[in-house]
Amino acid sequence: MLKEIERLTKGGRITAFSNTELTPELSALLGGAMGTLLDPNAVVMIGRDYRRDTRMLKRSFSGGLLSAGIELIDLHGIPTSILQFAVRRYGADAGVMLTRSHNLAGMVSIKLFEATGIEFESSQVAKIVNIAKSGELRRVAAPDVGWISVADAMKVYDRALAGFFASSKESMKEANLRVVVDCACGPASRIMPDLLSEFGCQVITLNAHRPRNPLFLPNPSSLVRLREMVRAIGADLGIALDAEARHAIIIDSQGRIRTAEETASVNLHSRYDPRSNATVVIGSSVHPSVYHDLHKNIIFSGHGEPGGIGRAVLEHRAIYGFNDTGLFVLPVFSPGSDAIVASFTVLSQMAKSHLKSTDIYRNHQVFAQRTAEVTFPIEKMFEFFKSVLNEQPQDFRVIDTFIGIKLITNENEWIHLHLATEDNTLQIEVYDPKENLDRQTELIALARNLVDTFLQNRSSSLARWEN
Amino acid sequence: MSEWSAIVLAGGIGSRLRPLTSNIPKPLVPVANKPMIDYNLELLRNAGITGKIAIITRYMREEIIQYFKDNDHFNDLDIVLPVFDPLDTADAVRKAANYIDTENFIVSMADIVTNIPLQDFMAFHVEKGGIASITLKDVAHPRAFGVIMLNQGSRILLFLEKPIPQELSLATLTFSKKETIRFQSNLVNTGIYAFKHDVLEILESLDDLMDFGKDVFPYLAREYGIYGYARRDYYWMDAGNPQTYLYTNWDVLRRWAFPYFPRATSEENNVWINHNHPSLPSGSIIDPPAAFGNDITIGNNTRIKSQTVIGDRVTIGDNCEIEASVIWDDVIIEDNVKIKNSVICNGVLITTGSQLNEGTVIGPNFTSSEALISEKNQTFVKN
Repeated sequence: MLKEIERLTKGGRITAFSNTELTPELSALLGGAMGTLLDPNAVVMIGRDYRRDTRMLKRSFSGGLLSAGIELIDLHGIPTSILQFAVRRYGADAGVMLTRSHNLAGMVSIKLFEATGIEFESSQVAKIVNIAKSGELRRVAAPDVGWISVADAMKVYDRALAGFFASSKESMKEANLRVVVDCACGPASRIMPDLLSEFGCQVITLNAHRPRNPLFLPNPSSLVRLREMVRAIGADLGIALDAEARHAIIIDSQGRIRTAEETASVNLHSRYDPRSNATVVIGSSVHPSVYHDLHKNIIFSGHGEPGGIGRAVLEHRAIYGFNDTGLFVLPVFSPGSDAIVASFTVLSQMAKSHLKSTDIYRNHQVFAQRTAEVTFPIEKMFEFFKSVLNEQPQDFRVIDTFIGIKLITNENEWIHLHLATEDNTLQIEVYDPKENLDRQTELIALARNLVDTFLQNRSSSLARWEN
Repeated sequence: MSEWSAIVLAGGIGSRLRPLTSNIPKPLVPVANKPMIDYNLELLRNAGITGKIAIITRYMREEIIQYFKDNDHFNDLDIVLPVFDPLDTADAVRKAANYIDTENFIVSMADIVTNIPLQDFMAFHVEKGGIASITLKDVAHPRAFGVIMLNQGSRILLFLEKPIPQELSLATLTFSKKETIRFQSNLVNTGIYAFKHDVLEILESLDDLMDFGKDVFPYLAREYGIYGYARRDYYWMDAGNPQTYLYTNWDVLRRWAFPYFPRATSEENNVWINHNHPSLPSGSIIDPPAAFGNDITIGNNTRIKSQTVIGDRVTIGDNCEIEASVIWDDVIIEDNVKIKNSVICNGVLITTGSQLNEGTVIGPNFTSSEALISEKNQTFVKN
């Protein structure tokens, strides 16, 4: 079993296939290792999403923590964003969240959070893995074994959010906005529709159930369904949350799927006085048009380290942090990315300005240097994104933008492949900081090649199967 | 540059104190014949605040400005009355930033009565070196206020404004094994704060921070570190509703707010008199402690029992008994009236034979054509 441990860390997190790589036994060992790293008097909040395997692994991880004398506050099924909020606001020493991967079947992450609510750095995760490997765990005597208490963090979050947006409540009630929200079968389904109703919205909720077989939401097909729903009922806004409620994809009143960068831009510009001397943390591959008009101190944060944006926000006392994967960190409210807050900011902006979401987003539209479109079957799109994410083509770092994938080079050039406005169409956007036209053409060709290779491989494997 | 300046928040509506605040702003509501804001300014004067004192007004602003035009007893202080409309407490300080030119400053609420050793609190703030310090007090029911947890070094670990039970539950669980002090003894934020000047930059850049209790202190506690001044040995009362208002009057008469006393030019045996002593006809008695304004007429065989405050131009008839009550200005009380633990606002006429029982509140200019017999805690207002 110990041999397996090294393979569990990916991208600085404990991430593995559940019940094959990450077994309950290993999960308990890792829980014990985390408990050993923490102070014996530590109190830890723990939560999970709605999957069966995360429930199982959470129980064994909890057992490990308890064996090291750690007190646990079990938040049960809860969005990651709310766990992070609760850890910091109510003074827990650490947090643990067990969630499924957005795009790999059977893959589970154990996300660990500091008392600040910010995710452990990879070096801290490595310490835990090393303790687990060494087997030198702190096992306390029976009377000192930790205790599990159960608490309802959803209720306190609900109250905090209602207070945070109290000044917009009346205008939102008057606006009586029609909102379609896709909760991605995650725990946010317990809170998001009610919160929207409390603020006077007419709410249609999608994917609020707990499926036996996990769905990977949002995905291109689910976004198209959401878009169709928004158009069909004339909704003012569509919101697609991920299962952790850390990421949100917004669909405007005309059914345009807006990128995370555009939503971040709406959030940022609607909240803060551009003349102030505040600091903003921005993902290094965010399109410059999002921040070119900000006269702020801008700190760039690369992809890679878990909690990188949140940590940079904390270190630089920034007022806001975001990146192109759809992480929105508003430290006044919460230390981690909170898609519910980001969505409410858009809604409150609409209500206060009496503008349609399409009009609001018009001022925040991100235009790539070069674009191209290719026909692509919608039902294969998610599979394509997953395959590129898994393969990680040479010379590129690939990130999940929740409407597609972004391939980024060390020179900060990027290709964004995502669902286009037209159905069955894939949009290719490229950016080269040096604005070299030849390089842009090269990047477009590279993207086309990726698409063609995928489609050819698929058709040949399909032909083999049919033969 | 002076060492300390101050901002006094005097913009509240005082809705919980109605009908006392129907015609006057809460900072001018008299406690023992002296407006509440006077207690606050005396506190700042005694602490040696020599910089600007910005009084932030909103509700019935003109009345407060007029009060300072008409009265000269704070002429030794550098008082300014800026005119703007704050959205909340922290927003008031954000908008008054131009008036703060000292390294540290005090922010206080105009509607509390306290004898907190303010100089000691200011020294505490400087010694701890945090961006903010908050004065704390034990109260019986913290949920009505806010809950604060401190460590041994007086650093605030947690700040909850009017917590719901789930919040108290979460906080109790997370702090169950930590070395905190006095969570169980119900420490609450009392509305007097000390800040470093730097906080103004934070407020400027984060305009989501609107209210000190709900937004600013939870944020500063997490991100910067703030300290709680948790001495037990001082008096503090938020005269926020008619009941606590009555208590505050009693407490001032009982000298609990020492050295802050009723408005008076003389005092003898715990009876405070303003300029002219009311004449006491035969059979009439005053039981100390009590406080009297000017031009008071008291009838025969009338008894003013202890802990009673009577304002200016008040006429009380024969055979009356007034106990532990607060009577404002221009009130006429006819014969054979009994009043107990009640508050009577300006311009009221209480007709012969009335009986006002405990907790009665009579709003301004109320009159009745027949004897008034009140139930407990009954409120009467002019239609």
